Amino acid sequence: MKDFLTLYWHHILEAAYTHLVYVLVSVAIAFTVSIILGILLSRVPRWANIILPLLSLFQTIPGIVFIGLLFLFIGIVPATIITALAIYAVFPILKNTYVGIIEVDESCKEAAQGCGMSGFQTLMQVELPLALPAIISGLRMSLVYTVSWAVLAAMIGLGGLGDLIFAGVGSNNNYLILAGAIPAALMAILCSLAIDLLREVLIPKPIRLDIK
Amino acid sequence: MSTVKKVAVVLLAGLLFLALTGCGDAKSKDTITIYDGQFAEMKLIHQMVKLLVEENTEAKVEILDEVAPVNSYKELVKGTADIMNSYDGTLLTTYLHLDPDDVPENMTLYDFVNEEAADKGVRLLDKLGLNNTYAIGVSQELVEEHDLKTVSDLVPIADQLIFGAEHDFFTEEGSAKFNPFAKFYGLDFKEVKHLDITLKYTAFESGELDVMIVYATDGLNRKAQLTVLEDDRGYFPEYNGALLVRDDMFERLEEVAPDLEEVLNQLGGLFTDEIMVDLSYRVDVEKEKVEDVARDFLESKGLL
Amino acid sequence: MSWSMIAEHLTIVFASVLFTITLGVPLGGCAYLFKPFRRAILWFVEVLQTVPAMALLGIIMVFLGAGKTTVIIGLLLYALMPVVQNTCLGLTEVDPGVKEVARGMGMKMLYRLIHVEMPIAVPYIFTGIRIAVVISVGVAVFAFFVGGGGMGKAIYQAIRVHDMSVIIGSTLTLMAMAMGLDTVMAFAERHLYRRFSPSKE
Repeated sequence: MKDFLTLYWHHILEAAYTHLVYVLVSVAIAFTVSIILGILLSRVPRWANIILPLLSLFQTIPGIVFIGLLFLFIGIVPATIITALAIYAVFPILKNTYVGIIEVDESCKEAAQGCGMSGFQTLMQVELPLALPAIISGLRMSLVYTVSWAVLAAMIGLGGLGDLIFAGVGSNNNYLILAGAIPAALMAILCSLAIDLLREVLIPKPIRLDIK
Repeated sequence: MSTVKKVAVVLLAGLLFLALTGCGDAKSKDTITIYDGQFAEMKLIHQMVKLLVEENTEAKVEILDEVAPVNSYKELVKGTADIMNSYDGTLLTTYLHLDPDDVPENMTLYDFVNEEAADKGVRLLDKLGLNNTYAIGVSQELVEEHDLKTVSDLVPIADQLIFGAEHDFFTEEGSAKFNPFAKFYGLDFKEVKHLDITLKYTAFESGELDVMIVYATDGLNRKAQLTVLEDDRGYFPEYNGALLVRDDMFERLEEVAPDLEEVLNQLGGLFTDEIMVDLSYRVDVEKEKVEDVARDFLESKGLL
Repeated sequence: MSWSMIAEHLTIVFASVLFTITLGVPLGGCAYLFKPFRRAILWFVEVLQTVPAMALLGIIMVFLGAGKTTVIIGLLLYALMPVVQNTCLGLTEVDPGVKEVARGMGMKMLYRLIHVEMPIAVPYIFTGIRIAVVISVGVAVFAFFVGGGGMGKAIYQAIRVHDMSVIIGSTLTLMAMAMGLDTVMAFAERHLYRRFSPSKE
């Protein structure tokens, strides 16, 4: 066990770092895209009824297929995995942003208008803040899923913690499997705890009580 | 009210069914059990075993689920399987965790592993004739451009080339691995990619990799039109294909198949690397059925 | 791809969901009955779902070896969350009046749970099972990775030999499988909610 760690610790650290970078970059991209899209869709709910089911259908495409195909077109560059991960990460945030905004109480919006707020002001100062709990729980889902999907980066030669898992399975080495799997599991759990923390900080108590 | 009870009864029945069907049956006196392999070569050899045994003896051969070779080996040692297609080099390194350096001077790798494996109750039958060792594959353009013939020819141009192999070729333990190999030849590649064995050929064909590790008898080598460079300094050990069998199988099947060992050894020396590339090409690329290819081949050799 | 692979995939899914129900419903019941443990149980099943699927399968494989058992146990753990959560939620939502009456009739806690509260919570539990089924269809693809067979294997091998028609065919089959099961179960769910809705009685 100790021998194993001395032999592999720098591999593990490097793999974990690569893994985390893929996750953060792709979720950041997905977050930006889905907030904008979510706001746009909330203005035209009719479209949302078509676009959201289509996107949810897309989510059922297995990662190995999508990443395997994308790899044919883009090649072995980080852009391949980041694109794939970002696309998978969009749906939960987008859906929650949309639903969060749509479900804002009509009376709140009317009150805002009554105060003389423009449509944009209502969005920024009323709708988005009220939708924040939903948006954050979407973000959390995306983040956790992305840590999971990022294991597949190793499949197309892009490293990350999957590298150790794949190598361990291929060479019948249990330590290697665990050396990839345990940090990946920890990373997912830590990410979800970090979001919980973010929630505590960002969301004012009254709203939190309201949604509980 | 009773919905819950009904559901509980159905669940329990289901679990019981699973538990019963999940249990392995006792060793039968007339059936040989094989866990199938994941790649064309193993499937072909297993199918040939089935055809030959059922043609020449009263015994039956049951080919079960595909499992990874390591697990097939575990089942063999446990006694739940009887035969698997294997290689002396794999038995040495992956299963027995030994190294080619452990083989005594005056002994072949094949004889050495057979001696070492004896206490596990398994042994290798006659060599099939193919040597499915690691090989270094490059594209034809690269061969023509630099007049490559051997692995040593790669040394001066390695810093312009991207090398790729499956993940387990890069582990720190063992000798048939990337680091010791690169050090042995003095190869310093521009970039090294660890990618999945299924995507290796795709990456190679689309020009993402210049040099890659392949298995010498893989039918996809022909499809990708890659040239195998000669391992001129003899780095990789041999991986002679041979059937790995449980020793007690012959006794158990004595009544139905008294000459089982001779029947199985009909496969000995029947193959070359080229023949196996051909056969697995037919399965993997031309999508012929494993059974048809196996039968064709045995018929062409006059064994059926 | 062949019918046998589809059947294998569905077998893996159904077997694991069966185990998920057998483990998840009692666990949800425990979470409901024993308030001090509720947070811990719910947190635990949530963490299980957080673990990346391939990592989870890899860890189980270390102990159980490759094959279907590993996949089924992996799926069981992965799909536990919706069943446990919904069981607990369903039980909490049971009308306090009904609970009161049952208590008034002198029913013991466990008896009440099995004969009164569980039946009322059935629609909720079913929703959890439906989510578990859909999750399992998707995650079972990773079976290829630990030698469990199913559609994942077909896809994986098709990727190896670059067989586009099999890749696309299997993917569409999987999508249809997930959608089909979801639709059928959604239909059954509506029926259940209607049948179990208190207004009928």
